[in-house]
Amino acid sequence: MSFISVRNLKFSYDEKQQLLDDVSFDINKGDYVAIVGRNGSGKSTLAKLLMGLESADGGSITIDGLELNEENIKKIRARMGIVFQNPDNQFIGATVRDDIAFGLENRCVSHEDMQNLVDRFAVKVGLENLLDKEPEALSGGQKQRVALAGVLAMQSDIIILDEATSMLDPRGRDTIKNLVRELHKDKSLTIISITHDIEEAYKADDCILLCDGRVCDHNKGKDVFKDAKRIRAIGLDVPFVGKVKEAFKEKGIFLEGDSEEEIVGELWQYTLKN
Amino acid sequence: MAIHFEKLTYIYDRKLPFAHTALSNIDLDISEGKITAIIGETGSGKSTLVQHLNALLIPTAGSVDIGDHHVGANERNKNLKSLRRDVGLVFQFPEYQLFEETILDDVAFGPMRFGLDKKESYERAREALLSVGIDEGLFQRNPMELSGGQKRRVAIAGILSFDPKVLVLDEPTAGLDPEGSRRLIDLILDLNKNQNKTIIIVSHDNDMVYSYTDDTVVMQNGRVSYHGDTLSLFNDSALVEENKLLLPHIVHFKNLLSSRGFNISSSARTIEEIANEVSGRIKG
Repeated sequence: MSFISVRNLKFSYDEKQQLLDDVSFDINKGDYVAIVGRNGSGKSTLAKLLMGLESADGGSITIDGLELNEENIKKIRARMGIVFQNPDNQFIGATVRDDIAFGLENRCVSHEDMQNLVDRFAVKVGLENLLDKEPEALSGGQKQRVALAGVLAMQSDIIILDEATSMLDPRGRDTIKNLVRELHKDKSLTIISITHDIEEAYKADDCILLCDGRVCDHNKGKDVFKDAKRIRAIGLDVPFVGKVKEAFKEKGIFLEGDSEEEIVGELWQYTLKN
Repeated sequence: MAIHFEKLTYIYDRKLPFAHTALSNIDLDISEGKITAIIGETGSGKSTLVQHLNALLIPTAGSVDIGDHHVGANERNKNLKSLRRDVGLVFQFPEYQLFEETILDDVAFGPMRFGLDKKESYERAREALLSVGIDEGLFQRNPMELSGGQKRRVAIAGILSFDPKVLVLDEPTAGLDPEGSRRLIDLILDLNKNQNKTIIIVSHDNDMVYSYTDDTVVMQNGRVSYHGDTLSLFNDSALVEENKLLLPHIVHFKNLLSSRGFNISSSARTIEEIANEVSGRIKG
């Protein structure tokens, strides 16, 4: 069985509208999965169910062999960390140090171990010089890093990013995306990113596309976004590379590349032929 | 309408211990008839700056002149109503401000508030709604029944109905689907070109800024770190770095192309324009 297995998940608040309708997918350990869909597609609902904040009307979620239910939720939560859209809603400590340590205190970690863990993960996310600051005094990107460090210090091996970069300015967003990519490199973390950042989803190895409460595609990001017409019809934006291909197609130049670098290489080849 | 900020400072909660200086000593001239972007990190002072343009905030020190309107610190600021008629401010998610029972009533509210009679107000409302692409058939509907993009356009019509000379939009395309964004950008370009409106856009979307705005103001920690031509800013990687900006996708792509010997003119600002130039070269 796969690491995270979602089977026939159903959810609705009222009978009129089925928010999730028979959603099934598998996630392997160490994967980085982007979940995308337009507003109202069910991605926020799916996020809440994965975190155990709502319970499904039908179907199941199994994480590393444990079914997500009232009995197992504590065990599962212990290895699952969540970074929300607005980290202001999850700060508790008076300083960055306290905040990162908060989760550890709840787990009766010794003071010495706690300090070591906090220091280690503060360095990892680049907060070592800000440990004595109030979380409120930080920028949006720094706040998201505090939230990430808190989650990492808990030794979570599953991280859910719930539109974690959507409130950041472009530079802050880029920093967090690079950091997450860096943290994911050794594949010890399984990362589920619920996002409306099309470029992030496009680059993801694994991308789940939700449409009206159903999984309408589950593939490599670049394949999910290949058909620009379909993506527009779903109501999503086309990634930059897709737009470039479209514009050149209009001019009778057909490009295959998946990245800007590849496309520029192809265009160069064209000049050699002519 | 030209806009002139002079040594403007704004401090939030200035009489309290947690006073926070959001803007310090801003000197800035925004040209009439142009589209100007205001960009910068979250918390850099962009929204505080634009809220001075129709006196929602009064400077703590210094002043701002908008055409003939003067708003200064420690002054009796009269005639705010006529200022607010000249400067239309569209907040983030303006659709949350829709409140009347029908779309037409909602849009007619503005002109009536500014003293136009009922008949003229409704005429203006109709015109404004048609100009943003909401057709007659929807006029009697409840605003809450509309899609997100339609609501946004109704909210903008509510501002256009009193024909402001300056239009300030805070993140106008945030949360809209691509089709909705494209139509809104077309509308903004049209208002600028054909009605000579001065447009100010607060945005995080550097690609949109690069493709569609004339000038850019960069805010950093409550100060202006750049003000000038948009293309000159983003085409100069040292300036981009100095202002702590992220390179627009389009500029990154142009740079990649030039590293392979495709020299794209610095004035090319959309993917279509780039494709045009490159295909010209290939087909020679």
